[in-house]
Amino acid sequence: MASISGQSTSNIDNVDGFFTTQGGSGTASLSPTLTIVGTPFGGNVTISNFSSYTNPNWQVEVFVGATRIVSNAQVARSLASDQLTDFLSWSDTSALTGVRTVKVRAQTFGDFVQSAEVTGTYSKQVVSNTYMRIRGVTAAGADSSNRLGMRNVRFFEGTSQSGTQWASGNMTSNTNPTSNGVTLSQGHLYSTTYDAYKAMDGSGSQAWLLGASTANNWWQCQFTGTVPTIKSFLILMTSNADTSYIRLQGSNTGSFSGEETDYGVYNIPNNNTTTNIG
Amino acid sequence: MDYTQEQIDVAVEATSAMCFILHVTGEVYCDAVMVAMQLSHDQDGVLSEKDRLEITSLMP
Repeated sequence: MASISGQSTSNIDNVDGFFTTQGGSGTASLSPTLTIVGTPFGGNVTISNFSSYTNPNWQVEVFVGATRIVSNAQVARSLASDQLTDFLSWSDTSALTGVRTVKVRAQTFGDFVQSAEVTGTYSKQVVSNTYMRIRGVTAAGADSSNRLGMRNVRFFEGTSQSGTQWASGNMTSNTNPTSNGVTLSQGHLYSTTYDAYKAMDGSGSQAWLLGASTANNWWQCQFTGTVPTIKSFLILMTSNADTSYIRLQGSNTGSFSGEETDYGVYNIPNNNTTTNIG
Repeated sequence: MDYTQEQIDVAVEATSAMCFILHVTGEVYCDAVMVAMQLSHDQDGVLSEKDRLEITSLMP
């Protein structure tokens, strides 16, 4: 704005927040790097290279085509040293197929102007394997001897723990009833009191890998008939567990010697409450 | 989870009174006490030699 009521503003530029050349329609530039990871049950993005912004807040939305499937309010933020981190994650429960487009804008606190939009894409993973394995890992995802202890594990063909459930009923052994369509096992057995099927028997007992090593700290569900497409699952980890992180893996051979598909690491608090994923 | 006096006594004996007290008062978490309590509960106060070895391996 060059003048106000005919008086030049040249001497009051940048005084009390008044900018004579603001123009009112400016759009801040942004050229960050988006590192996007798609998981079976959601996605996450790590944003880097945004040095022109100081501790910005991020607006993140996810689309399939023109349909928004994740709003900005549904994107989870985390704090580190009292600042929002540049790692954001979301749950992707949309039944739509196709590539997901992640749209990101930055806005510095106190600034009314959002940056230009930057986009990236990811594909949602499909989980459909004969063998599903849950492994105890560290927060960083490394195999760990920190034992699993699970009172309940269920897989679902629908999102948000809906649709057909596996195992559909409660197991009475690692293989029975066979009509449930699963065979359970684990890499280490402390005693039969804590066998694998205890995580699917509907009781208060648990599949507990007490004394497990880094190599054998896993629990497995084999689908013996129809192999379902898994869109969500739940775990109740007991306080007897020594880990709060699991890695979900899938294989069609059961070998898990490199042919398996990695479905990501999940934080499952060992606090006797059910954690829903997907 | 409810415990009988016998189950608690066995867990204390398999660990130590000091560890047990510090654990249950929340002052020092002791994995051995937690495991001993669970095993003692599930086996109604009977710990095998294997149980005791496992508990001992978890003692601080």
